This record gives sequence, structure tokens and C-alpha cells, in this order.
Amino acid sequence: MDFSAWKPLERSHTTDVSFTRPSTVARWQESSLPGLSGGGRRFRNPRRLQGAQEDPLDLLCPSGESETDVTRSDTAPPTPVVAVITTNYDALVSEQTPSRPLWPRPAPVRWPLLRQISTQSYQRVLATTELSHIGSESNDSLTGQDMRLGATKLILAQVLDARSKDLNRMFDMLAALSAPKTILAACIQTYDETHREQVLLVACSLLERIGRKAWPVLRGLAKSSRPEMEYFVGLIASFVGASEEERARALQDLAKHPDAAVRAAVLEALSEFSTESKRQLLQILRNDLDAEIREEAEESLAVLD
Amino acid sequence: MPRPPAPVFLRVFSPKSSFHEWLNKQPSLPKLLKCFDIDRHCTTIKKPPSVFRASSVIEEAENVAALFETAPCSPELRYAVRITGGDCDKVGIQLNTATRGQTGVLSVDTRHADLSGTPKQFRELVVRIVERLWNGEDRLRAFPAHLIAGVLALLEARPETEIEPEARHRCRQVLDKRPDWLAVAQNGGSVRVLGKLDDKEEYPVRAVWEFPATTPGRAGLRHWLRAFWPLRR
Repeated sequence: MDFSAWKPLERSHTTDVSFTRPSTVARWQESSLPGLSGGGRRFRNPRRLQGAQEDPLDLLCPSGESETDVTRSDTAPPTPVVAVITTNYDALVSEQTPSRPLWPRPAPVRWPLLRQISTQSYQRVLATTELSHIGSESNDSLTGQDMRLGATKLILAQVLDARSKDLNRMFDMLAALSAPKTILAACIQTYDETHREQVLLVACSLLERIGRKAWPVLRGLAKSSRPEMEYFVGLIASFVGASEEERARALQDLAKHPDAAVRAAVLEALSEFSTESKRQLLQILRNDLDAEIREEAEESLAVLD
Repeated sequence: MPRPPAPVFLRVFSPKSSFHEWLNKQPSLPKLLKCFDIDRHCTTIKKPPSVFRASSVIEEAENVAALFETAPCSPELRYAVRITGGDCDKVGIQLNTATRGQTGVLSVDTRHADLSGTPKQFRELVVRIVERLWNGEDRLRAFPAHLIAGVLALLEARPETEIEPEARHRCRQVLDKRPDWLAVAQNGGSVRVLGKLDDKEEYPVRAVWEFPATTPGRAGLRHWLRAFWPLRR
């Protein structure tokens, strides 16, 4: 698959998906798909609403963070995107290219047969017009990145409750065919919706498996202020695809994280580093706001010296 | 004859902050509910939290390790809170054992159960567990990364009747992340989990896990029967 053709997420990118046809909304809501049941819902990001400091992770999560209908747009004029999403799971499952137009044909839902999807069909879905199940009612349209994000979220929703027999194939598909940025964005969004920590553990697993290509995403994530960063500290500290210097720099960012639990996790991850890197990190943590972290950092520094 | 210990149900979670929250002077309810993947403000439980029954320390470690391999990555510390049947009865939570686990390890999957209840009942469950903790009961568990690696090595060595090939593959994936942690004895009868203390001087730590000589339980019997079936015919 040609990854170079995938467009990176940009801030100017329109982000919200809403539905205009009640029948479409109803179809999403009635469907038994775990990932689709809240299809028309928007996610809230209080920090954004309060105008707080930009969270880099927000850039990774393009879909539906805005609470208003008009989506954010920094360079382009704010155009509301009105997109209608239908999905043809028959085509997914039978691995055949549908010959007739997908829209406005109602989409029968057979998602539980996901395990029958081969890598080729998923690849086709992602790479070609198969996911032009997404029709647009405005001049604007969803980009391929949104489609991939949607597809990744759907697969991810299945991963969470998948049988052990199907897990490996799903992991392989996601790791091979979805960009690290998309995987992370999908995982974070799914976590926000479901509160299931398994999603974050799956994200760690996939990013670790992808290796070096996932490092820029993890590096960006290290600057995020989300409290869920605690799950990723261990991965960043021991990431095989990055040099010690890179990892130490990422951890220096995490050592200044607003959440004390994340900073405490940095303290736990020091064993992955050489004495010099440890010292630099401990120098930051010795000035921590939290008394316990401060004391522990002081003690560790004393042992090093 | 001493009575066997009553089984407990293990709810596994990974953030250290959640583990510490149970021990705080004034534990935060939202953070404790997070251990059950429940949002403090939710009105219904969409997905009942999974728990795994355990009657011994080994079973507890097996449960945690098997759950770990469902998202294979470098071995990491895991935590668990122990829930008893009495806790569930007290607050009205149903233990639904009908659904099997999805770890691919047969013995662990059969020990799976779902906790079915309302958000209010889960809040009461959390209160109950904190009360029992303050009564001195052993309700929290920590499973070091090396322990998880050792148990995964044991699980991986199990016969096909006890672990699915896909799960075995995931166990191998985890173990491959830390090849220097494990050493199998030349006779193949045991595995050593290796590590060291963080100090200027060298303090090696070695934990030895013996592979079971024979596979116990119904699965082992089935394996044995299958092996001899052609001879009988």
C-alpha cells in the first residue's frame, strides 16, 4: 500500500461530521455495531471550549471535537461539513467490489463477520474508493484521513471484544495498514467514548509493534497534557525505535506534565536510561510541585552521586 | 484439614496512580471507578466489567498474564483489586459466569465472569472494597513485569489443548521483547526469570519457575486421550 498518498492531518482540516438525513442517523443508531452506536454524537473537549492551551493531541484527533456545528479552521474559512456516511459491510465481508452505487442504498449491517475480512479487502477499503461509502452533500468532503480514522475506529471497536483467534489478524491489519497517527487518534477517541483502558493498552501494543515509524507520533504525544499519558510513559521510555537521547528528551517533557501521576511514572521509568540521562531527568523532578516526587528524586540523585 | 481459600475475583488494571488511589487517605471515587472502566457520571453501564476468578496466587498470576497477552507489548507492571462473592451479594451486583474470557488460555477463559450492576451498585462496591481494605483484608495485588514474563513463558509452553495457537504467538511476542529476562534450563524443565537491583554494585535476582511435569485438569486428560486414541482404534 502506498502510504505516501495518505494525507497528513492539518489544523486547517475540517473536522466535524454531522448528518442531515434522519434516516441515516437512525441507521447508525439502530445498528448493533459497537463502534457505530453513537454515530451522530459529538465529543467534547473542555480545554478547547475554555480556550486553554493547544493540546498537540487535538491535532491527532480530528473528528468531532468541536461542540458547535461550525468546525474549527485556521487557514480555510469555517465551512460546516455536512457529510453522510453509509457503510457497505456486504462488500467488506464478501471481498467483492460492489458494482452498483453505494449511496443511497441502505447498508445492511453484518459487522460480526469482520473476521472474514482479509488484509486485501481492508487494504482495498482504505486505499480505493471502497470507503466512498462516504458521500457528501456539500462541496466539501471528508478526506481519506477521516475515512481511515473511521475505519480504524470500527476495527478497534471490534478488537476490544474480539475472540482470541481473531485478535492477531486484526492487530496485523491495523499495524500494517493504518498510520500510527490514525491509530493513536482512533484509540484516544474510542477511550473518550468508552473509558475502557484496554483501548490504550492496544494503542501501546500497536505503536510498539510499528516501531520507528511510530516515534514521531509518540514524541508529539509526550507534549500532550492528557492524563492518559500515564499509560504511554513506559512505552516512550523503553521504545526500541528511538535513541536514548530522543527518549530522554521526550521524558523531559513528560517530567513537566501537569498530572502528578504522569510525573511519578517518569520517575518509575528511569531504569531504562544511562546515569547521565537519569541525572538530567532527576534534576527536573527534584523541583517538582509534588512533595513525594521531589523527595524521591532527591533520594535517587543522592544514590547516583 | 484446612479449608481451601474462597475464590476471589480479580479486576486487573494498569495505572500505578489507580493502585495508589485505593490507599489514599481519602480515595477519589472517579479514579477508583476507572479501575472498572466506569465513568463517574455515567447513568448506565454499557460494558460490564470483566473479572477473573482465582483460588490461588498462581491462578491470579495466570489471569493477569493471560490478560496481558491480549495487548502484547513489553512486560509491564500490572495491578489488581480482589473482589469476593460476598462483596457482590452485599451491593447487589450479579456475577455472570456465562460469558467466556477471550484470552485464548483455556483455564483462564473458563474463570472469566462479568460484573452486572448499575453505576450506583458499582459505587457501593468501591466503598465496600475500601472498607474491607481498612479492615486489614488483602484486597490489592501488584504483579511485577518479571512475574508476568515468567508466567507467560509457562503459558506458552502449554499443550495446544490448553492454549490457542494465536494466544501462544502473542505470548511469544511479549517474551521476545525482553529476551534477556528469561533463560530456559537445558532439560527444559524450568525457566529462570532474570533481573538485577538498581545499585552501583551488582545484585542479580533470579526467580525459577518449574514447568509442570504433567498437565493437570480436564484439558490435560483430553490431551492424553487424544494422544492414545489411534492406538485404541
